[in-house]
Amino acid sequence: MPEPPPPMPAISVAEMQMLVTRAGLTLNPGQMADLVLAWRQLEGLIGTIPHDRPLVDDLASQFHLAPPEGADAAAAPANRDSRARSAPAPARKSTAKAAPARKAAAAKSASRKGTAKPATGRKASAGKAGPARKAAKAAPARKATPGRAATRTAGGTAAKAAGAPRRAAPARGVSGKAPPKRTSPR
Amino acid sequence: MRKGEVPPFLTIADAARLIASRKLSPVELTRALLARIEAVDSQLNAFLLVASKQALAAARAAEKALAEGRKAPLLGIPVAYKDIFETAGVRTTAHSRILHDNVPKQDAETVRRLQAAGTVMLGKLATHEFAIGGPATDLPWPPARNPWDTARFTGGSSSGSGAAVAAGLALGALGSDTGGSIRLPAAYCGIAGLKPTPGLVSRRGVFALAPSLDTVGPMAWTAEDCAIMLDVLAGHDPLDPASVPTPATSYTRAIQAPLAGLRVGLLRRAWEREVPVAPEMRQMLDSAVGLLRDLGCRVEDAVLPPVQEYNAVGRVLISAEAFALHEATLRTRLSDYSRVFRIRVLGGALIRAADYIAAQRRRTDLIAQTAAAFGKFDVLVSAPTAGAAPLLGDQRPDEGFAKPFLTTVANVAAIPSMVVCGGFTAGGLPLGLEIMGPAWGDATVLRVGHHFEQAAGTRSRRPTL
Repeated sequence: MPEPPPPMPAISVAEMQMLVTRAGLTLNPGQMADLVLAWRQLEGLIGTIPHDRPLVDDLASQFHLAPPEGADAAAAPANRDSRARSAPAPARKSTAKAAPARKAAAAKSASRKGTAKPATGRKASAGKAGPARKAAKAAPARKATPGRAATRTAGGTAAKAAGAPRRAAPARGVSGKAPPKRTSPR
Repeated sequence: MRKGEVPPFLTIADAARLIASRKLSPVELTRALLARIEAVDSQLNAFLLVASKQALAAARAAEKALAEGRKAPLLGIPVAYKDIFETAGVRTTAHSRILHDNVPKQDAETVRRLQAAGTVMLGKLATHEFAIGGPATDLPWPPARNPWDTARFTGGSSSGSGAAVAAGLALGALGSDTGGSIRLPAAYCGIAGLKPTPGLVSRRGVFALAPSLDTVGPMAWTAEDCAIMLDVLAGHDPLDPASVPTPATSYTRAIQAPLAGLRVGLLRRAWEREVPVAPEMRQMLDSAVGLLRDLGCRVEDAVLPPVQEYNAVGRVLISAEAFALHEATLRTRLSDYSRVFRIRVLGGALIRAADYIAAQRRRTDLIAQTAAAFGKFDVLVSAPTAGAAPLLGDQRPDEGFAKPFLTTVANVAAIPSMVVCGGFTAGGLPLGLEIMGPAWGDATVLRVGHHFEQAAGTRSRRPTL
């Protein structure tokens, strides 16, 4: 078990100013003062979140590929993973128990990356499509930006980790334009 | 009730019965509510836009459908939407200068479902800007005020929804909840509001705040009314990537089952030690426990991880995700946002990716630990707020994330949670009671809320304006 990392040093106002500039923002002195105040609150909260997790722990940011054509949606890896996670046991224990299943699921997902791609785009064949594939067909194929993909993933993760009665992986829709409207095109 | 007469306050369930029996006309009901909005909303600022013409047209259509024999529980029921829900052809601003003239082409999926069910849209409701922050005075529209005492805060961010339903200006409303935004106004305004399990109700066409935590849900005078709305709102939306296919459920039927034998856990440590509540709130909670026992529930204390842990995770995720969503607009139109919005969101620019991931990983643990508590309990009961609605003038924009919210537990834990009116202070202000269930236990949460409301008898008292 590695040593927990030392706490992050607090950043100075000058460093904050640099980060704000890097983010492309121009703040007047009053706005900068507000940011300093807000950041000091956030910084305190961040300090209370444990960072010292075992390296083998899974990342929270997961995503579910639509099952390949012809596969039974109910048997998709995401489902097994979700059942493993929903076990009412302390997190660490459930993580440890679920690890082999998740590794297997991850390996399968990785090997299917190529076949899964059409399901999110226009080329998804209708055939005997389940809800996910029908939805994918209905949704115009646009390339999702990485940021938006992460957002959708996180939402899906919450439902999944909560033991969602998933029958099929939901279609991964595509976002509209900023300002931040939720979702896929209609 | 004489024909043509409209009672001053109606629940959705009552209005539906009167409409179905042809004792109440949707057009008369809509006219009465539009007149009430005209008469009292200048004191409340609940509505950003009143769609009178569309409302009357929809009411006439409902009346025609009724004459043709259509039967639906929401046919002809007037509702309104928090102004982050897109409405086709009707301005949707998110209470922000940024979207001052935004007129969407399509309805949000939830709006579409309610319209298809025959509801009548009265208009668009106030919110905190983009559903975050607090009451702001540097925006084009004033903040909503609490109908029980117009000097007081409604809670937020679904502030207009809480005020409009409590004041009887709409029979139901839609709200959104990322850290408590349905349940806080429900508590302060003395109504019922449900934050459903994530994935149960589509979020498509609703302006996002923090997509990994956002949910949308019904707000109404009673838990039964929320159940009637949820019957229509729940269901898989293949175009919402977070929507989950679930078995069809009749929430209105489910809430009728008695509570005998139900296991209720009290999060006493949270309201006694972590976020100490006011004495009147504590008294109300004690009475609520007594009522739940009288209803046949087995009540014991329950313990979850500290409220502050849920809040730390929730607030880091909200700041980071909200900043990411607004980044481009903040670069070009920073001064067009309210100060309170900037204070809540700009900090997200400084959050490191490692900290964001740590928050997501901690959330995974908290979801599992909360789920484990439901091995022993069917529902958990808590206080949603430390007391009754504070004065609007006491809300400071620079408060930021200083105070933990009891409601954020359910958002981070990805569980359903509702607030119902638990009682009143000696001064006549409502006090909320929060009921949380396991993921997909929305029906149980509504059921407890429904039976509690009936036993507590809090639904006969309305604000006077």
